[in-house]
Amino acid sequence: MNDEILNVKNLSKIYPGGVHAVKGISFKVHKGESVAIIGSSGSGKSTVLRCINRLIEPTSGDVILKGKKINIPSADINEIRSRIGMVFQSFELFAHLRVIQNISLGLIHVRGMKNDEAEKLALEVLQKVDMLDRKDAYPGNLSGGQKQRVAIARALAMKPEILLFDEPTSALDPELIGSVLENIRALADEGMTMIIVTHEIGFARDVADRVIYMDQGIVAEEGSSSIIDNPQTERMQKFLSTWD
Amino acid sequence: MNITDDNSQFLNFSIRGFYILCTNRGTVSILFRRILGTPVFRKNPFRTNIIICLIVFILINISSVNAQTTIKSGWEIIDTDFDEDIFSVISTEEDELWGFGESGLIINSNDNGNSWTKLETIVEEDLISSDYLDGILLVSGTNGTVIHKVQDEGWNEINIPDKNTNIEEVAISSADSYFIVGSNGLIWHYDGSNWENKTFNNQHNYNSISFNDENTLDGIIVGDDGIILSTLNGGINWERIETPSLVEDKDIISLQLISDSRAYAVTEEGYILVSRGMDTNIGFEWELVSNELFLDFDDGLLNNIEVVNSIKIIISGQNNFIATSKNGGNAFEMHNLSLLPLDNGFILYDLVMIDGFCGVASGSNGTILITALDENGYCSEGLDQYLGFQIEDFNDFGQFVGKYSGWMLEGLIATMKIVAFGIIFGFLIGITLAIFKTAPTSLKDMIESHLEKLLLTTWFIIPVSIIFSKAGNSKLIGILIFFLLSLTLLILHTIINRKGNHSGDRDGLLGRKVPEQFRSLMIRLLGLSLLIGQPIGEYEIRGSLFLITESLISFSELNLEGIENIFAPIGNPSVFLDLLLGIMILIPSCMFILNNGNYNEIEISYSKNNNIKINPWKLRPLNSIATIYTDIFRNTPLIVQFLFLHFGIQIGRLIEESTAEFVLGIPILADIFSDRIYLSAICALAFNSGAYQCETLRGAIAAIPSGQMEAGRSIGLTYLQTMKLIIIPQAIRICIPPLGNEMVNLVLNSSLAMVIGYTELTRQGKLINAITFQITWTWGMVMISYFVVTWTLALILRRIEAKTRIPGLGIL
Ligand SMILES: Nc1ncnc2c1ncn2[C@@H]1O[C@H](COP(=O)(O)OP(=O)(O)OP(=O)(O)O)[C@@H](O)[C@H]1O
Ligand SMILES: [Mg+2]
Repeated sequence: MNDEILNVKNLSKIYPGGVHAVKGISFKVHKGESVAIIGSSGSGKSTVLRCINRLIEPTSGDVILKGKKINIPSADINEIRSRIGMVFQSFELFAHLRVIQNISLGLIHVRGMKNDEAEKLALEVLQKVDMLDRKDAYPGNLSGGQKQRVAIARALAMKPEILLFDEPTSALDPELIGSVLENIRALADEGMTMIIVTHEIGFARDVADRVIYMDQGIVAEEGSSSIIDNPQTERMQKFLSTWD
Repeated sequence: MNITDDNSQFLNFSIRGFYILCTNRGTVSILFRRILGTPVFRKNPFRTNIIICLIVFILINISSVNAQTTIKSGWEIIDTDFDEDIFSVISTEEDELWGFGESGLIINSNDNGNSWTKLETIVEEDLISSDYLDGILLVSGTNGTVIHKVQDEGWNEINIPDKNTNIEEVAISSADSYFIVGSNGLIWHYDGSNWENKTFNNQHNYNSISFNDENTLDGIIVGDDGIILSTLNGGINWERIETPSLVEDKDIISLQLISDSRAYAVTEEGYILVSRGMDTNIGFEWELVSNELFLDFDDGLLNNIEVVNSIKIIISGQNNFIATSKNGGNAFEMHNLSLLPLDNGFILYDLVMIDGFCGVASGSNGTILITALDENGYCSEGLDQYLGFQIEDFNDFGQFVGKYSGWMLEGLIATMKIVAFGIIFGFLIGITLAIFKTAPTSLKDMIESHLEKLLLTTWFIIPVSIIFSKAGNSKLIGILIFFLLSLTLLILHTIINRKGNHSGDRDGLLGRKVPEQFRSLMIRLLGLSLLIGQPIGEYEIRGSLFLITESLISFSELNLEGIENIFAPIGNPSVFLDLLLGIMILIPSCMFILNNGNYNEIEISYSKNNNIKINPWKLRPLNSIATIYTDIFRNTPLIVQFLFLHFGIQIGRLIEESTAEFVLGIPILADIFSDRIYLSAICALAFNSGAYQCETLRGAIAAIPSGQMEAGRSIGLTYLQTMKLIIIPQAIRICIPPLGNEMVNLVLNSSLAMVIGYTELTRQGKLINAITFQITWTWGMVMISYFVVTWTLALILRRIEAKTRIPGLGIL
């Protein structure tokens, strides 16, 4: 298929300590698709995400972005990473920079934009996540939900081809989760290609086009979001039952 | 003295005030409130502190009394009852002194210049130049005036054919043989009755003539544009002599021939020429004492050289400049005429030494200076007299402070000068090393992603630079070529990568890379060439094997035994550097040769079920370099570093010599880069502090959550960009307090610079103490001065910390 953005082939990762975190998983993500990865703690979800933009090196297997293999030494990893947005569980905003600078930093230094150009774009994405009024605040002065929305804005500003979310809401208080999820939902509606690792099963069901259930480093079950209501495997049934 | 007293009162007050401030801010606050009528203190105590601190500091600075009070000039002014300018002075064998000047002034003295009598004038013209030989005095003046005095007869004028000649100088070659020289090639000879014109080139302008008093045959004339003439036959024939090329276009202003083995001449700028009459007759071969000008006399040009003996010469000039050299012009000691109460418009015209130690100098408005007597009643040579070890009595502390705060200030400024540069360079070194230390680039990364660059460097850039440096016989050229080539390639590489569309690979070089199937082979070849070197004609490049074996052989020649070998690096430093380089290259070269395309760890089993896994590919070269550096500088005492750097490897001299060409003529830089002690002091401080600052910064970098790096990388920033834009700014904010400590330490450590002779605050304190024996006062003042500086620094740092504080970073 031509609109295939990401193809993960037989990916596996053994950590230096010998932990076999991911044991050969494969999946594809198409343009405009949002894929939710769910699974119990320690099942290797974060590891998969990090392998996709090579924050950690996969032990074997391939990651292919738009037809180009990216886990070879000669790939220009910085350029590739700038096309893959990532939102972290613990936000990871740059504490010494104001919100607006957090967002324009990448635009200026990676995309080579002029300052005012970058600022304009930054304001646009801030508007999108409804954080325009706090553009001059320092991250330390924001609430958790606001921080995560800024982090989303930061990733969005780079106009990525695919956005990776690693449990974007699990560090947030329940009442803050809503606004972040709203933003992600809006992105999905706009046709953003996304992989969302989440523990919000309900959210995954609503937003995701496809759901991947991971267990002990392998894809245990995969299908449209309806598999959440209709889990086929015993393991997934068990997993879901703990969430109700 | 009045001013001094006022100043000392001021300083006294300020130091006391400062003391109170330190001990009890409340008191001062009340005081100020009363004076100013406003509660300034409560509003912004911090800012006020800084301001007060600055004020105290400035107060100390203002009250700078020159350190001159403890130096006495070697000259003293003689009272005379005439006020004509005295252009020339001369001493005779009969211990008589004569002076000649404005409007035909003739004066003489029979008591070594202490008192002078004015004789009746016989001419109206100004008398400019004089000479003496065997009882004959010969004097010349403006408008072709020549007068003489033979033995005990009176003064007589000798008429010369052309009154319009401009005579610069006269000389007696023998009885009844006089010479006059001047502009437009003027050389005339007088044989007792007739004048003979010996001019042979009227383009020349002659400034000075001198004959050998011992044999009356050797004579020399010097003039503008480096002209030197010499004669062997009492002036019958003159021969043009070749001048050292550096002074070919300089005006040689004065000359003195004292024996058939020594003559000195000086240019207006201060180049000293010497003729030693070794292979040739005196005056036929000249060389420069030094190619450099040791003197810097502001603007004024020299006008006279007085040669006392074959090594002691005194030069003098406009702007009241007198300097003595006791080693044939290699080094000069300045005479400080400003210590004397001379008029503003005083001009020094001539200087003559009666013997090696007593002399007379003459100047404008009838001023005569003679060399003062020292405490033992001997002539002082005119050099400044240090009144060391003469314990002074001080009525009160104020007087002491008044006298020595100037010294303190000088020391303080000297301290601040090394500290300022020390902090800057130390920080730069520290931050570079910290980045090196935390750099994740392992050998594997290097070879994987920079194979092409490494190949090009070892097979092209390095050989080319070596060829150039060997051909040009200068290491500097090689280094220059190396950087030039690397830079051009880097820029080209970046441009090509820019142009290519963004999905292009950044690796490789100039858009090309070694194909996958040849990579392993190429790596092996690279390793091989690093191991055995590259033969390229006569400019063979030595590989690590060669470096190591050769340096080991050299070391064995040092005859060290057993444990003594740890001192081998000092026995032969360059070979030691070769050895280090060899070892550093050996490891990667062996690994490159043994590589098989994957970078697995090596398993070494040392017993049945124990084996260690090591992965030399994980070696981080940058980290190793930084570690070696910090280990060396943190495990040796600073004082030894000072001594070793300055006296051992003479780093100041190295820097001075290597930068001399570049800073020549740039005013401030030339000054900075010619002070070896200063350069060494800065280096020692910066190198040492850099090592500590590196560790501090590294600690702070380690304290930044790893997520920040991941976040930076995930938006596509490179490692270095992330470090620069995200990690370092946060790390520095975290480590401002320890860095502040480091900087305060640096200020305090700067006192050790005294061991290499740098005159900073502590050394000044030592000097003051040596002169006054006021131990408590001296060291107390030194302590307060240090405290003021460091405390100000600490306050500034505290302020910076508060200003740069970011919400959410660190705990308040
Ligand atoms: N840096 C590491 N070194 C060694 N083992 C690791 C490392 N990071 C993760 N692991 C291990 O790898 C396995 C998978 O971890 P991973 O973080 O991918 O799980 P996860 O699915 O994201 O879990 P969670 O839902 O709790 O975030 C775990 O067993 C974990 O202990
Ligand atoms: Mg996780």
